[in-house]
Amino acid sequence: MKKPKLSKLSSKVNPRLNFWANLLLISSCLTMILISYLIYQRYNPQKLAFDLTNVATSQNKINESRQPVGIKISSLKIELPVVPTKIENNKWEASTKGVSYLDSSVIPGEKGNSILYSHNWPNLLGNLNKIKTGDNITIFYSDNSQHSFEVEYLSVVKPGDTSILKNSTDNRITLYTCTGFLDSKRLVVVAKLLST
Amino acid sequence: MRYFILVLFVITILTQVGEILAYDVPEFTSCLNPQGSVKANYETGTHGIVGKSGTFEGKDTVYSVSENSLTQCFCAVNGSGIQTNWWKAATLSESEIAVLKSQGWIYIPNGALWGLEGEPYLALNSEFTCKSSGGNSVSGSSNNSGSSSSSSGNNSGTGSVLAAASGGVGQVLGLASTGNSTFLFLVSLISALSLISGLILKRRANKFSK
Repeated sequence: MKKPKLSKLSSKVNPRLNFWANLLLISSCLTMILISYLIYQRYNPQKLAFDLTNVATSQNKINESRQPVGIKISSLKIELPVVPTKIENNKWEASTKGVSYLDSSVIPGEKGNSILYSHNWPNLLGNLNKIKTGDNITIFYSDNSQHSFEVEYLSVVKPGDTSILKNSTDNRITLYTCTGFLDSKRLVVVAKLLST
Repeated sequence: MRYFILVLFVITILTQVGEILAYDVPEFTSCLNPQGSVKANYETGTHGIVGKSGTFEGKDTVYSVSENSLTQCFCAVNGSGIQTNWWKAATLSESEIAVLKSQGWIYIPNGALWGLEGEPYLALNSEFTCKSSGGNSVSGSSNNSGSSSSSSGNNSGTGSVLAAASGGVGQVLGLASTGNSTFLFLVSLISALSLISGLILKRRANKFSK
């Protein structure tokens, strides 16, 4: 019995199945590249420092003389820029280069509730779960001034628990990041202005 | 594929069951930023917490949030806080109460025993950390002057949600998603499924030739 030639074998490959197989394998490779990039971005061992000269300013409040530009939590060795962000079309902007400051909230230190948030990446607020009540948070401003806040409350809440965003009669900052399984919850830190 | 459809079917059924037992959970406030009117406030003292045995020493404030809901904020002298959401259960059916109990709510037949109105309540506890009297979150001293900052009586009325104000829409938005592990997980899953499917198809395509 004659053996079929190799060229004949290859010509019998189902072209349709082969096309879909190749398509899936290519898409798998592309998604793997994407995953690699995202993991690199997430675990980039970037130094936790900020350069006040490189901080973006909010377009909405560009005329205002005092904007938050940096945040420092000494107990966690966190020093990061503060980047003004907005909610547009119900989507929260989130900076990957620093702590996001929701610029529709009051400027930190003023009467009311100032909202700050960031990713729980190691180079951002990945260590926030180690913060304790009584720790100090310092906010730096564009006019080279600074304010200190003392942590008063910590809690893990569901994303729908928006009461922490409501206004307050004191001078506070609400800082939060993601926590829990698949980032399903929010770790919230409330700090109040220390008298200057 | 059949399993996938089966899972979708089960999810759909479960979702439908949830809709049949739909109830409107009233709005509660957060002890981190309490809203509503102060119903009771004790700067110091010994307090009982529903669902927990024994008594606790510390500051206790109860906020009336709506007609059917109250939030009790207790901050112990050692800095451990317990938030109890109280929900008037008179209008709830037995089956709804049973479902809520399975979700962690505690049924209180008579609220009068807890200083509330003499009707049934549901209570749900959650924990938070507050500043201890001694300024240290770990094992505070016995001296308590209520340095915790939840001031009694100070609330800014309705206090609109900033997010909603910013969005220009009257709806309440959730807190921003600040991590992306869900996205990473999903992309990884897609990648793995594509790889496995691709390899299976490749093998079948080659088998076809034999």
